[in-house]
Amino acid sequence: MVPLQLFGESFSFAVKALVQNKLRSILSLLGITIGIFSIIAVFTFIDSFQLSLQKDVNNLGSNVIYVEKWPWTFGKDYPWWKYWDRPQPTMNEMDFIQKKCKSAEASAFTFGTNSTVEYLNSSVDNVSVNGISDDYNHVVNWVQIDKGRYFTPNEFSSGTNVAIIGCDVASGLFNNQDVIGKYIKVLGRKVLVVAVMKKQGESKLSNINMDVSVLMPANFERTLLDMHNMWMPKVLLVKAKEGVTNAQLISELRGIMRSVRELKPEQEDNFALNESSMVSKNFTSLFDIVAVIGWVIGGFSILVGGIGIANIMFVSVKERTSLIGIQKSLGAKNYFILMQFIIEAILLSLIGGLLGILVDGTAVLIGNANDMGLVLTFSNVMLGITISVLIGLISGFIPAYTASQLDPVEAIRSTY
Amino acid sequence: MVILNFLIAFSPAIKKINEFYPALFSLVMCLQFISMVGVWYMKRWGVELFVASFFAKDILSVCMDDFSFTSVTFAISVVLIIVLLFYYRSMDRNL
Repeated sequence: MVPLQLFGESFSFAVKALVQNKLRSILSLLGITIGIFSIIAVFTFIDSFQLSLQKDVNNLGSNVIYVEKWPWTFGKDYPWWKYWDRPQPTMNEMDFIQKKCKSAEASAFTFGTNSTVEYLNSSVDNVSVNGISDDYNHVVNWVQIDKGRYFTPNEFSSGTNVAIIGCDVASGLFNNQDVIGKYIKVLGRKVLVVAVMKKQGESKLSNINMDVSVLMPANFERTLLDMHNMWMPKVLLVKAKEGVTNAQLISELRGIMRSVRELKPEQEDNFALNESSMVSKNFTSLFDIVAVIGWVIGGFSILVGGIGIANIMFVSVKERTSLIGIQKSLGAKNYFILMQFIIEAILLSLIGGLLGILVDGTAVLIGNANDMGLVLTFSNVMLGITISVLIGLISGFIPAYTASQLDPVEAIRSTY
Repeated sequence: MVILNFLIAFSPAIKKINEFYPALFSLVMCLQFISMVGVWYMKRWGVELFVASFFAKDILSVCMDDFSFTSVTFAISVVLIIVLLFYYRSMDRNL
């Protein structure tokens, strides 16, 4: 009970000291506020972006391999001329993969172009119009139907003029009216809308934005486009079976693609096998650099803030030297004086840290009001509080210890 | 050295090991700093706290799979402990 009472007394002494010198306290805790704000803001930004990236990777499919003409990432010496003459993947190759690949759960083929979509007098420009094969919705996660239905096997095989449209296309053309069963004009042909997709937002990892997309059966769209156009992107997507790693699937796919394209052993691959982790790895290294910069800036702010608090505590000890002498002569123990000043330093630093976290929280709220999707995690809040408490302890310990070691007679005689 | 280590505790590299590792690591660093103050004033509690924080830090590092016998800080700490134990008897017992 006595230690608690002593702690309570030390605490009230510390609070009184802080309240008596409001301006000095506020100025000395500003350094900690800025430091904590910088560090937690950078960690919050990175955590939020990584969460968003993870969502995008899941959407792209962490176990999906994209067979394409161009690789997604390049080394320093980028031999673009080698890729230039490569053939694009074809639907026949997809059929071959479906027959031969034992590691694949499903595969799909997609190609597309950008076009204007019209309905009566309304139109939406720059819509991504994609032709897809029947297993497309099993391979990727971004075909999320809000209203209506997916294409039937018959519509795929016969190439019926049907379409699934993104929510921004639906709202742009129909202004929130009933969409299903209406005919829209895509690539100069009338197409029946059978479904609208859920709102998903733009992917940070790729240029895919399903909200401004139209999906149609591949067998229908191929009649509207020049399939020999080398600028039109064509992608073969292959999803791995459960328990099969991407490396295993890539290895098998490489063999199959080389065999279907009749490549000799000495010839290089004339296709690229891409996976979502290739892009996310690039982002990760960028985040690492941002995190280090934020940590260095925040770290030095905290260091300077800590030195400021230590300085203020030394002044505080000097000012209250005679008071310390009186307390000691009345029987106050060394640890009581020590605790009194340490609590003052910790309180000062903690208030600074909490202010920094509060500023971060406000920034997150403002950011989220603008759809930035920021997340201030519990671990980051705890980290901010821990840093501020420990900085207070470190910067206040030497002044507090010096105060606790004062000789009562010498201290009372002090005339500061 | 302790202050710099304290700052390193909040580095992104340490945060990657475990979410709560920076907090624990910095707590140990803080204890090491306090022990250094004790050693500076030739107090026995300084040596005792330094040895305790040394073991706490290494146990923590082993648990997080981040321990290395060849690290410079480990070598410096071992040398420091040997020197401090040599002077331990002549140090002050009081706070």
